[in-house]
Amino acid sequence: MSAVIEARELGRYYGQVAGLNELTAEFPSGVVGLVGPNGAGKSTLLRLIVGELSPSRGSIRVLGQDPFANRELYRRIGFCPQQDALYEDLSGFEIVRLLLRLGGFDAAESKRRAERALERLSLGERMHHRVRTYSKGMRQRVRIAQAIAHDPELLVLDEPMTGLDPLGRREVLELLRELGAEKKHVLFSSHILYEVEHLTAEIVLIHRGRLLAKGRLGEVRALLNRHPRKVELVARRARDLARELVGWNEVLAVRLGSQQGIEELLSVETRDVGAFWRRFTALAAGASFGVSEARSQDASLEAVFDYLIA
Amino acid sequence: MKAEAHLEVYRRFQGRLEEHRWRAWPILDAGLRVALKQRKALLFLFAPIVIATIVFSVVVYAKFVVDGLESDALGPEGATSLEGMAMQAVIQAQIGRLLEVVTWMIEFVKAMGFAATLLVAWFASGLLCEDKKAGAHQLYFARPITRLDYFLGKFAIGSFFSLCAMLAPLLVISTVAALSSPEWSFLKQEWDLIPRAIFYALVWTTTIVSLVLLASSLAPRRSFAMIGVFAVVLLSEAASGLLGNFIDPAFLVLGIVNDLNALCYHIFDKPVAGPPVPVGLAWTGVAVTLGLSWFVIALRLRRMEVVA
Amino acid sequence: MPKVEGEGEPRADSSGSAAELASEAEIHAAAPAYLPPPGPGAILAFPPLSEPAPVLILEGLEKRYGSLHALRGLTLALPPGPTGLLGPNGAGKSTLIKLLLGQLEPSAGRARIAGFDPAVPAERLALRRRIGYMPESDCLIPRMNAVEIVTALGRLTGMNVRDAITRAHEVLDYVGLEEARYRGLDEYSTGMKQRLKLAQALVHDPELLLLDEPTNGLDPKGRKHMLELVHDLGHNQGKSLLLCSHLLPDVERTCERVIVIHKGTIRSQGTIHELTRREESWVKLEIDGDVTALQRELTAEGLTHEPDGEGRLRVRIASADGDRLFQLAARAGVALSELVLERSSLEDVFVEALAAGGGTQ
Repeated sequence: MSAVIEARELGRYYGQVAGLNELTAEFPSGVVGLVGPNGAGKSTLLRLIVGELSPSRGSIRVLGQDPFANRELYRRIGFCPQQDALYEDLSGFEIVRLLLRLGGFDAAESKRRAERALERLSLGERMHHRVRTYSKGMRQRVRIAQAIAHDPELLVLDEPMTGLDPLGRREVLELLRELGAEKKHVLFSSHILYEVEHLTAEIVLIHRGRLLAKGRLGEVRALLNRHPRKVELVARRARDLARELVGWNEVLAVRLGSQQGIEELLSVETRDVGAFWRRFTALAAGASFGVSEARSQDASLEAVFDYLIA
Repeated sequence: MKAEAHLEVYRRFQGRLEEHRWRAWPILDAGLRVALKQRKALLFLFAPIVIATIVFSVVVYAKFVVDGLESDALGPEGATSLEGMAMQAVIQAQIGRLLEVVTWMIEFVKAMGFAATLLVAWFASGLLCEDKKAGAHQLYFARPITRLDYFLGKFAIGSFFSLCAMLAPLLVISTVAALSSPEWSFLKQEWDLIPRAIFYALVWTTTIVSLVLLASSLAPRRSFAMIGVFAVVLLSEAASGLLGNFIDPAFLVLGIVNDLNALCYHIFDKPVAGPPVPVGLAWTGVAVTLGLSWFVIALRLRRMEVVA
Repeated sequence: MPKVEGEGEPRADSSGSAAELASEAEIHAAAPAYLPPPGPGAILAFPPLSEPAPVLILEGLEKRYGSLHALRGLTLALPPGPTGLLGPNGAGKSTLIKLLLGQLEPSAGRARIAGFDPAVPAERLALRRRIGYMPESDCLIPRMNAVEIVTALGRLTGMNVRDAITRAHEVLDYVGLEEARYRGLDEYSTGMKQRLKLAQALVHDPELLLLDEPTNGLDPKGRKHMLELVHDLGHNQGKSLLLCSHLLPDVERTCERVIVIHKGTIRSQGTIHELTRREESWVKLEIDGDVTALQRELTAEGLTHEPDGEGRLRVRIASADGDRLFQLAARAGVALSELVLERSSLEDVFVEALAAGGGTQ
């Protein structure tokens, strides 16, 4: 089974500037989040994937084909770019319909699809008004609508949630989740890590134009041996608990935290988080330390990102 | 020695926030600093003025001293009865030279006015539109200044260039004229030229800077504003010329340059050279121009403040 | 003897005995102007302080543009401290900010900030000396570098030249712009621009900061740094903040209170702690092992529970009874890798507030 997107030693230079340096990765199917600091090459990579740019070196294959200037493939890919460049004097509906017509759909079909896409993005009421009158969020919805209107197999979105208010963000996240459930491939880049985490466990992390990490978040975290896992506990008898934990082999460090009323926060560093929880469950079951909360502190995407891009 | 560690945290401001006598002074100060960074433009635009000033100084000097030498040379020789006539002739010649120099100086000041226009157009066209384009008005109007303060600050920047172009050469020329005229006759008899020239410079400056700021408040970009200024001036000239010559000379008042021209000669108390516009109409023309410009600028500034 | 300087003016004298150091440390550890609310499940051991004077008061504030009602009858008394201002696009947030800065005049009602009324021209200028504004969109003065911009704006706010330059460098230090402050803005990244915008809002050390989407366009590192700065300003430096953001977790991280605005009215307001408190006490568990075994134990104990995703359960139980859950888990032969009290997210609060419609909470 070949991956949806395959990059092999992919490089793209703008004169001296390295947009992408040497990226080798196979992107899994389903919903995948692409993250990385500014300048890492996310936008360059996405534009290479949709065939807007051609590689300076290496190769990229999307759905098994070379995407550059590949009209056949364009029909199967939908791209929502980051830049805000719409025809101000057309309405949202006209723009989407125009792009559908250019993609080869006939007049009636284009109209139908455009309406459906815009309605799905909650632009039903305003779709016939000129884009000039749209707010930032509405313009973003038009961009997403034109990317899904032709029911592509692969949907590529560059920062799809900019300019949207919390409701809008929720709607787009839901939409992407639905598309993932409909067996479409969705690749989106975002700076808002907790949203990426919310939507999918599959991440691709790039930095300085190369691949830094790829896979399910939990597995990537487990690979970072240099960083022992941090865990937080809130308990009434925190000091007694701390005394107990310090004696464990799995525990590397115990740190007493701030008082929260009559309870205290305990931060624990452990080498083997699975073993720690098993042992801790047994301990808490046997004695009564008054534990009210227990959680991982640094398994989030944000923590992983920090560790990798320090 | 004791060890020290300073943790860099936020520090409170211990000083005072006072209302300056003139609130917009920092706008002038900062604006000038920015403008004066443009070395090449400064060179390009001031060089002709400097050259013209030097050349004209030499001419004035020559007129007084060299010419004077010649005619003075005529004087002393000749008979006693002729001496009287010769003296008179010398004095006449001196007066004539003085008047000629004054006429030249007026034309020189007018020419400096046009140079000033170029300077103002270059340095002041962007003052409002670049702020709007960059969104900087959001920062300005969150500070304790009024829209009027903002306008006055920008106006002062434009005026600086205009007045530099018009007054500095004037100062130089006047000094040369004063020094080279026989027995300081320039200062003694034609000293009023200086205050008149200053007044004229102020009128010209106010009008031109207002027009440039008007263009800047309407145009989306600096280059458009510059083109706009010249377009407006030329169009008004063309319109006034056409209408004035073929329909009614009163229409000449439509040309702002015509009006300023007429005012120039009126201020210097000399006969008008150029399209004849009655003085009253000329003042009206200028006043209307200023009024309209300021009104539109006020509207545009209000819009800048209010619209996000 | 090592010496550490905390916030406040640098001290000329560098000698100090242990006793002196302790008392200085006390002074500089002075409490901020308000107390953060106690954590979850805590018992108050002392009575709360009396409410400090509100930093912002709105009385029936209204703004109409012809027939369009941008703001309707906003009434609010906001205590000092960091507050989030939430609302969908077009809800009236920018109109409110413009009214607070005195750039617009209200159609009805009044606003008072630190005692000043922005609608009164005489008070407006004094007011602007006490407010710092960080706009959302591009706003940096063209053709100037960072130092020049901050200095010029400081002077416009009433500082003399020397103070303005010193202060400009101080705030640029605080936001972390180092040598870049002397370079032209063309080379600035979004992160640097945002930090510069924050610096210019801080130059005159205002009491109240209006921050409009401060993390706009920032990458994760930039966001983290910006949120740290905002958090520091609101919690440690005693500033009042009004933070507009669409990213609710950012607001949760940095603010104590929120106000939700929709269609020109306040739909909800209060401390985040209060708003996100749930009536019923549910706990979320992550199980390492056979979930059904645990489910059986829970049922046997008579505890309500339901699935919450793969390997997860929600259980209704008093928050202080975590031990019991561990016992049950041990009995079921599984391990618990997460046990957290379920709170509403701010997003839920937001959605509910919008759906509720009309009136304040």
